[in-house]
Amino acid sequence: MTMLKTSLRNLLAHKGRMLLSVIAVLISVSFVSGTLFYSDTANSDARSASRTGLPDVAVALASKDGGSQPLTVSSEDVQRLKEVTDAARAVGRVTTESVSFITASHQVLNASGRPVTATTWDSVSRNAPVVSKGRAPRDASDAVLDTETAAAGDVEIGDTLRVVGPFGTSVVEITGFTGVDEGQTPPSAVYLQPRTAQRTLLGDTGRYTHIALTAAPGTTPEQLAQRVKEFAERPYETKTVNEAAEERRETLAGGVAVMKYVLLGFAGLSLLVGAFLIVNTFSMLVAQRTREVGLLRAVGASRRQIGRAVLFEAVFLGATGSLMGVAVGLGLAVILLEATGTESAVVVRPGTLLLSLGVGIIVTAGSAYLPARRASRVSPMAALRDHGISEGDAHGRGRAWIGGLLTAAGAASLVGAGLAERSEPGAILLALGVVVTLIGFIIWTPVLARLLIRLVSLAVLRPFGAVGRLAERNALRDPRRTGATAAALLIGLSLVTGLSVTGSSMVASVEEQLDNSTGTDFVIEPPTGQLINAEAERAVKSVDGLKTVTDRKRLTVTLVTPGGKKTRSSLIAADTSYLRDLHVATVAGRMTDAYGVGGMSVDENFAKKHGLDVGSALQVGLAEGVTTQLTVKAVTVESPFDRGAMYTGLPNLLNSVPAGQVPANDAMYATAEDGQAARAYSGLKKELAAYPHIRVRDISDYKKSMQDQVSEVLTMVYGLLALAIVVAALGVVNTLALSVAERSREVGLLRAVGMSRVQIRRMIRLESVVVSVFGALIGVGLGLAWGVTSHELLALSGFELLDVSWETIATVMTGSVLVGLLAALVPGRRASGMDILTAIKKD
Amino acid sequence: MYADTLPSTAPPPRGKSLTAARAQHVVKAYGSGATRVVALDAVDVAIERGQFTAIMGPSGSGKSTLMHCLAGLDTVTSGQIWVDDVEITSLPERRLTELRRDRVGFVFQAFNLLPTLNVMENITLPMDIAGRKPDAGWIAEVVETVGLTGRLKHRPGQLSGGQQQRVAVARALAARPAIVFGDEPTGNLDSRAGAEVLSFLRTSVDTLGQTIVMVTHDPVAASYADRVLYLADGRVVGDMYGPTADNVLERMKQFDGRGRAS
Repeated sequence: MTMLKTSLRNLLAHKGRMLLSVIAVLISVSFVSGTLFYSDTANSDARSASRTGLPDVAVALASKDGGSQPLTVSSEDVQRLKEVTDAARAVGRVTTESVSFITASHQVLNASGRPVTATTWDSVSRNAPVVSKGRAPRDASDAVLDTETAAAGDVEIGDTLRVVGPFGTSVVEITGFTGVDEGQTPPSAVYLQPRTAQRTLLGDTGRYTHIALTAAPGTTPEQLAQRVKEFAERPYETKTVNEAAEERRETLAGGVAVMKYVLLGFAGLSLLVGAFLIVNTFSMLVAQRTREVGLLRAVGASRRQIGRAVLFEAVFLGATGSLMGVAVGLGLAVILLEATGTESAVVVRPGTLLLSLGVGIIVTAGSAYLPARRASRVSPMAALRDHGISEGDAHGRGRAWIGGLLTAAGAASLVGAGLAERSEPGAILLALGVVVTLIGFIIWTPVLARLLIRLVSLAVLRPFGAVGRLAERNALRDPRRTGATAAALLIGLSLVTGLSVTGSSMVASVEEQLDNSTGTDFVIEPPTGQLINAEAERAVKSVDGLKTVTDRKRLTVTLVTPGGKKTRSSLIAADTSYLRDLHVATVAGRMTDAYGVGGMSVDENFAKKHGLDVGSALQVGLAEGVTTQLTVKAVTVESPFDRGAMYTGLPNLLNSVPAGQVPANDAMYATAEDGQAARAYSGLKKELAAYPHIRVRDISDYKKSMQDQVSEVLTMVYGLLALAIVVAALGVVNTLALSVAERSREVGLLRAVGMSRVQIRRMIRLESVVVSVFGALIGVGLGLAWGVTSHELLALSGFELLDVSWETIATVMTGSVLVGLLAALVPGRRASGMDILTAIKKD
Repeated sequence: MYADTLPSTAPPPRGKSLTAARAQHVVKAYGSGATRVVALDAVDVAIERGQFTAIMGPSGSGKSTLMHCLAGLDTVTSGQIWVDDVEITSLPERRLTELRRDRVGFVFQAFNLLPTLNVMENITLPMDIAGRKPDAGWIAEVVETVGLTGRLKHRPGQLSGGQQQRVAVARALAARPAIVFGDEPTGNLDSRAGAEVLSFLRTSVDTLGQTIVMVTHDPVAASYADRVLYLADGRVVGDMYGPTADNVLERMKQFDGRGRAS
């Protein structure tokens, strides 16, 4: 009880010193709990994904050959299946995500990032959608959509909507909204009349993409599905309502899960960094209290009591920080939910609360464990000694060995990754190397501190004379403390550096490729998974000033190699002009031959894997029931564009596949007549204004949007890493502040023998800067090693240029100096403001 | 009182007065009104150049406060103080720091040295702070005098308490200050180590002409001085030249008795 009281009194006496530790715990825990609250809430949304529109069993044809067109069934198939399976109802449906909806205000309709599906209106199957406002569609030009999507796109009843599908464009009028039960997430869908859907989405009337079966009373969906499978006439595949609902839930939760793990990863990082801060705090408090602990031991406190008292302080501190962190985390969750457009109230599960508190408390207590053990080993004699204990073997041999070995192992793993010939084992080695070198360096920093801090001091502190020397000695005084402070900083900075090298190398490589291997002036692309339908294609081709226009179609094909192996792959069939739009280097053969009659190309890796060479003949399933023989005429080099693609000339496709099964263009390329580039660009933009989902870019815009994409990702990641860096900066402040308090007598002495306040401040500032720069140096070095290794791996995929973003590295180094300067502000002011006499007299 | 009536043992440097430090009507009070505590009550003191002066007095007599004020470590409530002919009570903080750095040396009871610096670096610290080059010959002489040759690369932690205090003395002397203040410099030492330090102080006065002021409560320590000033209740109550341990002790008893009687 007495010990407990001592602990509490200590906490209160040192609450200033604990402040930064509490803040570190608070920041980390708020991030952990915020992420968990957010994902709980988003998941509960996902869990209650509505079953609206899901029939008991959905039946579609299983594809056995290649082809890019959905396989369809006829009205007779629907009828036949109903009879064979004894279903209560069978409804033919057309459903696709390969469609864009353009609102009256020329906006592309989307449901907070989720694609909007087009599907046929079916009010008779089980789980049929219900119109909650307005009326159901009656005419071919009527359509309804769900309330949430309507709200997201500002669509009102009576508005028109353009439906741009692979086979054409329809204009429909919105006659009503469908709704789902409160608390459920509706499928974002626009419901069309069958004829409209068939014309626009399939290009063929009387056909359906799948059949919705409703089970008769007494039959479960599973039984019904079994009957479909037993029906051998057609190769049907089934999906029961439960399977489909699970799929929906997973889709909804999938994005959340990825985000959750990414955010938790960053939260974990800042927690790790915070742990360093806490270790330092407790080490220093224990060191300061040595005499007091010695006295307690002398009057009979046991080792266990001492250790427990310190741990109790840690638990108390962890609990305080965690509680506040959870409160802040709630706020963060609300912000996250708002940002992602989820409008549900935050779900607070007791498990999440406990987990967040537990993580905070355990990490704090765990960090304080070693200092607590050290405190328990203080001998009663310490009470009699004048000065505090030394903090043990700070640069112990064991540490040097373990750190060195881990670093060596990590480095070996990185080298292995750099030398890897294939991406997957390389990536695993890279990840392993990153983690192991990071841990190695964290263990190693105190050992490195002696060497590096001297070097940094040589470079930086020389002009500062005695003040500089004192700063250096202070930084070196306790290498473990300095090491932990710098290690906290190096975690965030090494990741920033590594990612910046990776990112800028990717951008530089792609830019170089764009410069060297593209001859096209304009790139015309619809969103992923969608196509440029015939109308849009005509619009492109009608533009004046274009010299060439390339049709490019992407097919999923089945390939049978000479060895009889069957695989699926993606095949690009394009006009010959595509060869000039995008130069593809070859290992063997010529691309013009690959585009010739009966020719094709395969990429290096595929050729190696299947033992193919120029002259090998492949059986290619181009569409359902259409197989043709193509001969390999060229083997291509891996490039960042059309990764791993195989090419063939468009005529090879058009000559063997019936017109109805030829897919629309997945992209188009165009070159302008000499001097007509500007006119052609504006012409393309104007003609495609009616298709806002299709992007037209010239090469410089294309480059820019690619840079933007990469820098957007990097900015986000840097933003999240900033969290860890802020906590690390707090660690620098913390270490400085505590050591200034610890060294108040020294400061007093320095002042007495004539050091000015300005010099005292400078001394603290220089120490702070040296420690920060030390951390940054290791961080940048480590990050460069990671970045270069990851570049070696990227080079395997054709990203061959290494680009070290020196600006980022300069920013990191300048930033670390700034962190050092800022961190020294308060401790420096406190030290310089210290009263000489009290500083000297204090014992 | 007792000021300005003393024989001088050494001629003052050219253009300087005979006193290395002087206090005139110095009052140091804490608090105000009913809680006002007067630590120094209108003290007039003159410290002569080239002399070894001890300040004695019972606990709470104000002896340490007087030294701190004379040394520019503490501020006064009223009155004036001159150190090496500079009036310091009106000096701004920055100038006061420079004065301490360049013209005053200190030896404290404990914690005199920076643990991160070696012996040599500790000795030259004030000059290093000032950015001045130490006079190598002089430093060598001082080091020799205090017997530290051969230990210059040691860290304070590797030295005994007596050695540490000798380093502190060397540091105090190294910059050739106008005056050296000692705050119970032997308070933490055993009698042998204490005697060593005191004889170094004595030597520095005799052979180097150094002015030293030392606060002590040890009659033996005081007997090394040329002169002993007695303080009680914030006033100078006695002044003795050529003290011996015995007559200092005698005098102390006297004051104690009087203190108790009053």
